[in-house]
Amino acid sequence: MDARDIIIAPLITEKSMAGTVHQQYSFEVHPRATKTQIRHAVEAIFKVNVLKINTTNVGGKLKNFARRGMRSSGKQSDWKKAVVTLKPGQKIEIAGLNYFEQ
Amino acid sequence: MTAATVKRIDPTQVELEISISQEELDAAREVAFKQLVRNVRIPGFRPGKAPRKIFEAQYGSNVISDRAMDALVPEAYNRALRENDLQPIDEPQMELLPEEEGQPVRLRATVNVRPEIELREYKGIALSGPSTAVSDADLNRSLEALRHESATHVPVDRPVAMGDVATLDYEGRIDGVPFEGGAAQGQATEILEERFIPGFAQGIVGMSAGESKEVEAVFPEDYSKKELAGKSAVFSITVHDVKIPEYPELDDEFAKRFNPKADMAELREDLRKRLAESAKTRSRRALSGTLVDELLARHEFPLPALMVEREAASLLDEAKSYVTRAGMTWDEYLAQQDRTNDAVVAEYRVEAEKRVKSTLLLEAVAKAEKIEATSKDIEAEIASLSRQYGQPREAIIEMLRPNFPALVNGIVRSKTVDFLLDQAQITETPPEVEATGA
Repeated sequence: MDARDIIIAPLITEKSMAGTVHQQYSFEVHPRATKTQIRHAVEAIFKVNVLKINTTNVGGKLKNFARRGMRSSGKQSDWKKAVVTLKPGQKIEIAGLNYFEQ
Repeated sequence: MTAATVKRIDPTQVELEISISQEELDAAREVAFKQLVRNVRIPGFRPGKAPRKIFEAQYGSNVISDRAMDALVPEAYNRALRENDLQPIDEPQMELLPEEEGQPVRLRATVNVRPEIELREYKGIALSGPSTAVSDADLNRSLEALRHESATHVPVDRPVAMGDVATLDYEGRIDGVPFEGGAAQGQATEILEERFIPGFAQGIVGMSAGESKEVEAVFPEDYSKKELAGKSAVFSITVHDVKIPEYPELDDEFAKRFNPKADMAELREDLRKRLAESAKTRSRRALSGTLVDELLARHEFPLPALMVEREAASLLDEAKSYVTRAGMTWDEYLAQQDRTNDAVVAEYRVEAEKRVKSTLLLEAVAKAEKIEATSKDIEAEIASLSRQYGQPREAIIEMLRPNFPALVNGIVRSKTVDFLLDQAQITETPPEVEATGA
């Protein structure tokens, strides 16, 4: 798998912003990617050194839809979250913009 | 800090160049961002919690800058006005000057202001007015009026003479037809020539109680009711009784009618005081006009064209609405007065200039003398209006609310005029000698 297929998108939320203080950056990654693959991908794309990776599988939520008597339910996709800890002093910028810092 | 340079491009117009420092701008932007982010939903963040960078990436930084300037510009403008002691009379024309690298943001505001007025001597203005002293003749005249008011009527058994009070029935006819207002029953009237149309009073003189008679009288040509003017009418008159007015003596007994504890000397004194009071008020009112005229003549300063324009327009509007209420069109009025619209407009312009000038001048004096409307003054004014219109205080306040500054200005103005009158050197011309029978 290519590095850019492993790292799907940066995860930018209030919670993920809090981690940037400790050099921790969060991403949505391919559900079947391993920590080793993620490490290589992050290092290749952002030219940084990764110290540690925590991953978790996030279950997609069940959603119900009701419209005009039709009732159906569905499930959002499961996905995988990776929290990458960088070497002190390093940071990640996307398109010249440092999304990850306040 | 903001700094402003003032350039007078005209005596009544200034150009302000205001610069806003970077720190101030940043602070304002931060405030603006905090306000804006509150109403924005960005996925992953609760409303109001998104970081500035994320917000700017989504909505652009211009939104914040614009909002910051909206708040900052009026603030900086008002501060510049205050620092330079300028009083604008309209809204400014704002213009953002082109930005230069590393320079603070600058803007140029052009606004019409009140002219600077260099006050000349305004104290001790010499005025001359009629004497406010109460002469004995005046006093006697008002005593006499009082005496007439308290006359009693005593019946007499003789024919009617001039000056008697007779109780009459009468009915007037013109060519045998009764007319409106020409009849009365049991009316007690003083028989005086000038009180009736010519011939009427004379016809009554000589009639005794119980007598009836036909009297012919002619309405004068200039009688107020046009349909009656110049007509001759026949009145059938019945006299019921004849009385002569009896006037009380001017003694302590008389004084007691007005104040049980007073004697004649006191009544005179009291009356004198009241007469003096009203003479003074009258004279002050008359003098204040002269005073303002004198003040205007002493000062020369440029008038803001805008204020004059506004005042002239409002005068013209007032006149037009007055004419309309009188049931005429403006053109008809002009035709009646035999004047052109231009002439009337020019006249109002002159009047407007005078008004604007006096307003500005009195304001300048008020400022120099620190004359202000205190809450007590305002309260008193409201109370007096409330009496005048017979409405409760709250209703008056409600009515005045939109015009409150005008009320305050009016109070300050009249206080200023009062002040100037107090300071003026008023010489009283001796009273004209009047030949009056006491």
